[in-house]
Amino acid sequence: MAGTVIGRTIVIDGELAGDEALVVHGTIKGKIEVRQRVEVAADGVVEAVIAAPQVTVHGTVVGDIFASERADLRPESQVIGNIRAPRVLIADGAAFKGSVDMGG
Amino acid sequence: MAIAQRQGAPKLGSEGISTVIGPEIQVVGRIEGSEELRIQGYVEGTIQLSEALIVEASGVVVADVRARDVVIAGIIVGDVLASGRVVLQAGARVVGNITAPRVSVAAGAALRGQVSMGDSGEDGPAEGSTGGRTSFGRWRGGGSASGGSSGGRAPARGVIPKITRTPSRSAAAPAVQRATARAQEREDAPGPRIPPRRFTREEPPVPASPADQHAQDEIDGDGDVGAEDELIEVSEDGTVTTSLGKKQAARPRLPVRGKHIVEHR
Amino acid sequence: MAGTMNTTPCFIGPRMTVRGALLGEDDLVVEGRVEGSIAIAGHLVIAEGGVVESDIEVESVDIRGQVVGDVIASSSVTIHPGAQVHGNVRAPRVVIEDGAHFKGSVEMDVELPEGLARVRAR
Repeated sequence: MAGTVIGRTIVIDGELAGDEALVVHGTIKGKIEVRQRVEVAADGVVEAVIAAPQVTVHGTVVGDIFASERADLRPESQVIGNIRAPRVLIADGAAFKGSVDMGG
Repeated sequence: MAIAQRQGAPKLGSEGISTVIGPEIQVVGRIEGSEELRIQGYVEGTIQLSEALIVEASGVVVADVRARDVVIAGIIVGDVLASGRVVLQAGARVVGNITAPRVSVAAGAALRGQVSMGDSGEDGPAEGSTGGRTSFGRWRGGGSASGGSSGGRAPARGVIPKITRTPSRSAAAPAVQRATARAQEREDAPGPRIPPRRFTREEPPVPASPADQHAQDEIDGDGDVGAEDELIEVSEDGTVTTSLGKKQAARPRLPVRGKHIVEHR
Repeated sequence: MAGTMNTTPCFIGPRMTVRGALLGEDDLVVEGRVEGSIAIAGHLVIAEGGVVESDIEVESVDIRGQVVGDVIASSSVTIHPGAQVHGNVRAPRVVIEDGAHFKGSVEMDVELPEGLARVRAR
């Protein structure tokens, strides 16, 4: 699959933007703004605001998540921050601290 | 079960696929890591890797780069420092200084900047005045035994200009400007220098002339000069003044050269 | 290119030393030593073992020996494996092969996309 992969040992401190699917195994601090799916893998750590249509978290996110379609917190995921998305899934086993805004 | 699979999949991906910044992605900031990084998109900031950096043909890197190896088919604007090798492939465009033990530039690559090869421990001190002497001494001892055989007066004349020239070059001022300045000095010097100038004029279609002037303007205008001034300051504090002084001291050398030409004729 | 009409280039043998300026419109092969300057409208070959301690201004040059000096070529500069070049190189095309030793600056025409030219100016 084409797309952007941030490997486990990679640390990005800054801003990542674009029109491409993103898989994060490493660390991103700052801001993520993409027009396609973002997946934070189990070993991924994101200390950033995430804005994307779909956000799936297996790993750790410290920061707000803005998903225009859906936010998906999988088991084992750890999220500290606010989530705004029309659909929010928080799986059993996920650790979450923050507020959820589904747009009502 | 399904969850376990989902969690497993990305892990495989991480081991099988190196890090890729895709063509539609822009990163502004600092990237660090200890794995291979492949850039197809745009990165601005700094990059520091203990493994290889690959800038693919679509990749644009506006950053100072530090990595083991750097393979470039795209664009880098910034300095490149590699502990292994730097390869500019056809189509690569690099504006910046390259420091690495091994550097190769393929046909079809474009580069503007300083290139330093060799062990940093060896080349570093060569920037200084004494280091310059030893490095040239080594060169002369190595390949040019014939120079030694050319009689007693040769060393004196040979050594002085060489030492004076070393700092001026290693001071890393814009090469072209320096070179053209030197060429102009030469033109002012005794007559026999004219023929080469004529040949340059006779061949105006050479792509160098208009484009180079353009490039010259760019060099004058942008941060290159400043960056290299920085280099001077960082490398040797005293070098700036000594190199300027010596550069002027080197001028008397020109008449001597003129005399040679007379002999030559 | 100018030299292609001539069948034999000027040749400086391995036991020759030229101290002074070399000017001309022929191709030139240096297997010996040149101290001074070289300005020719032709192709220059500095063979393995050849040493040029001077500035060079030529149409094109293949370097397999040693050069201490600035190199300006109207067409191309090729630095081959084993060559040692200490000086600044300026030409539309510069090739540095793996295994060459080079220290100095390289000036080629680098066409950058417009946005980057701006970034550079920062």
